[in-house]
Amino acid sequence: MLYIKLFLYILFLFIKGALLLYLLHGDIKTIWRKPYLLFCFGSGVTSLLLFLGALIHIPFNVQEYVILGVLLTCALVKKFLYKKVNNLWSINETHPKNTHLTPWQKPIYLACLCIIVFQIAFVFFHSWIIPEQSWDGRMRWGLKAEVLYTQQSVFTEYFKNPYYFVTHPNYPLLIPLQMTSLYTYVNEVNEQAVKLLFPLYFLMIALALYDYLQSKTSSFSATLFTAFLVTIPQFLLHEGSATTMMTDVPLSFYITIAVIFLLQYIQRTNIQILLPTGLLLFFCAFTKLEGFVYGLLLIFSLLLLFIKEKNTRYQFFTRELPILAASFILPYIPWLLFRHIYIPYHYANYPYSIHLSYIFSKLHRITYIIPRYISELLRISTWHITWILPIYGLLQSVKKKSLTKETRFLLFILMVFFLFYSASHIFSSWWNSQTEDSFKEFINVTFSRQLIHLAPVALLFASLSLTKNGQSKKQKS
Amino acid sequence: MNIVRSLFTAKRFFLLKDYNKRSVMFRFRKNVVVKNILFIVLCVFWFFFAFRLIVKNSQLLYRNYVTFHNKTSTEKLNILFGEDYPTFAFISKNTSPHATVLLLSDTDNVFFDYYLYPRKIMWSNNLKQHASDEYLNLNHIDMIISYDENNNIEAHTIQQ
Repeated sequence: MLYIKLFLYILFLFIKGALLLYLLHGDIKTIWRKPYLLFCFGSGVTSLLLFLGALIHIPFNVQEYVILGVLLTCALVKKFLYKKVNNLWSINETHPKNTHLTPWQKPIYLACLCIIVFQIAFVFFHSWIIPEQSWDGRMRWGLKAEVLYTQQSVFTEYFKNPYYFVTHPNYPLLIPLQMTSLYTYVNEVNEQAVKLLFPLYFLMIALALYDYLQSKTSSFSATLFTAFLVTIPQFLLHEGSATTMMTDVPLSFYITIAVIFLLQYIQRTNIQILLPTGLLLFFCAFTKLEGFVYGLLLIFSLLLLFIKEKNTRYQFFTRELPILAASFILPYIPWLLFRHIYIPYHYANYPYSIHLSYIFSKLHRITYIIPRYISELLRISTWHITWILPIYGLLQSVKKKSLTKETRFLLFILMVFFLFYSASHIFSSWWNSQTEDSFKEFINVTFSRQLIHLAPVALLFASLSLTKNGQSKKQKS
Repeated sequence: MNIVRSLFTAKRFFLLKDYNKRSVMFRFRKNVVVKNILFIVLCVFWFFFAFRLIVKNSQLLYRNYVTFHNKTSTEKLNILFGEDYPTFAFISKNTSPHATVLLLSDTDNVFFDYYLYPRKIMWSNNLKQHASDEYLNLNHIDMIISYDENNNIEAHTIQQ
């Protein structure tokens, strides 16, 4: 019976995603073939509407039907009112560039496929049989979901009680609400069932990466880079991995999809795609605290790209950028208000504790941070060749001067994110990084998890930069 | 010679268009070949690590399967809590869901708060500091429980 309920939950998630994409003028004829998009928008919109409904005191178990009903009604109204909508958006709808394999490539391709299947199966199976063992997963995210499900409301004592401050009640609610939604389907707080949500996110990252690379490069290249992704040990068993109930893998998923959408926008400048892109940035912000900064950084990277362009269109600054920013910020406002009004702050890890003398007193930390970053990026046991590949791709691109618009954008993202990580580590006033020893421990704990968010983007950059280099050389020859 | 040729053909890792034009491959400059060797070395390294990871994960999966297969959720919790399970079961059975419990122990088992929600579990290794009437009233503590390594559990109900 549990399997049927889980199947129904995923099915309804996909239906909600499809309805939302239809409402956002997506070309549903091509999009329905991309399960990762349906899952992405389905999960995001479910959490958003559950939260908005809870603000007006609708219990979560009633909302499941209300959300589906609202989306279905809106879709029907749109179908009858706007019979034909021109300029529908879609992503990666071009056929794969090359699906043919040489005899030399076939065994490698098959080996990669076997590795991908094994790793995905491993993550699902491991999550299914083993109870949650990470403190963060249990206390920060699992407990929130349990509270929301048992109380059926966001206005609970949990957010105000100092006893629970250690579990950070002010952390965003996308994943706890997602878990609450699943509990509603299975009619109980079922940890075994909810743990499957995280491998599902992992699977969807792999699908998204494969689909994008397949449309840009070739089946072989896409399979190889997807195999690189699914064998990253940090994604499998460490703190923040897909086998724990932590939000790093879901955040990585939303960032990957947002970057793919922005790449589509750069390629085609289709204004219709900006609205779903803004929503994706909101999903990032609603998943984890740093997700909001990531959203801003992605917009900043886009801005940087267009400023560097010689023929930037005037409309980008006057029309397109405001649409993107508004669709990102507006859905975030209810959560922001709720957080500031309803949840008291406890820890002094907020920007107001950073002042000028504090900044100067902490600058020396950079001498520790840079070697630490390099050693982490080159740590084969946790990352394999994930971070060596983009460095290799960058060196080749710079030497050949073959950076395309897309690879330049991805490079900006990587640079801006690393700058943010450095700044966050240097100036962090988090209670656990006040002394030098605890600051070093703080980096050890957080940096590898931050890299999880960026790893798929790094592999996208590596794949595109290496492929483009190859193509330009061939054209020359 | 065959080895050199195979290195040239490795260029096809990312050059899948015109894969039949073998002659094209031989026009590249020498440094390009060197870079491809670097990439092949990286891939070989990756294959080695991926293989090692798969072996390691298979062993782990088998071990965990043997440990947790066909176990009820209570039995899984028993494995998870280890020595602390009797205390966990005692609190679960003998306190109301909304009780606040003060646990006197040297260790702090982080599993308790999650699995015993909505009960509030407070930990202390200092009885003198936390057993004052003022502290107990302030935190609305309903029960004080102490346990030792041999799982000798002592419970005192507090009348509010």
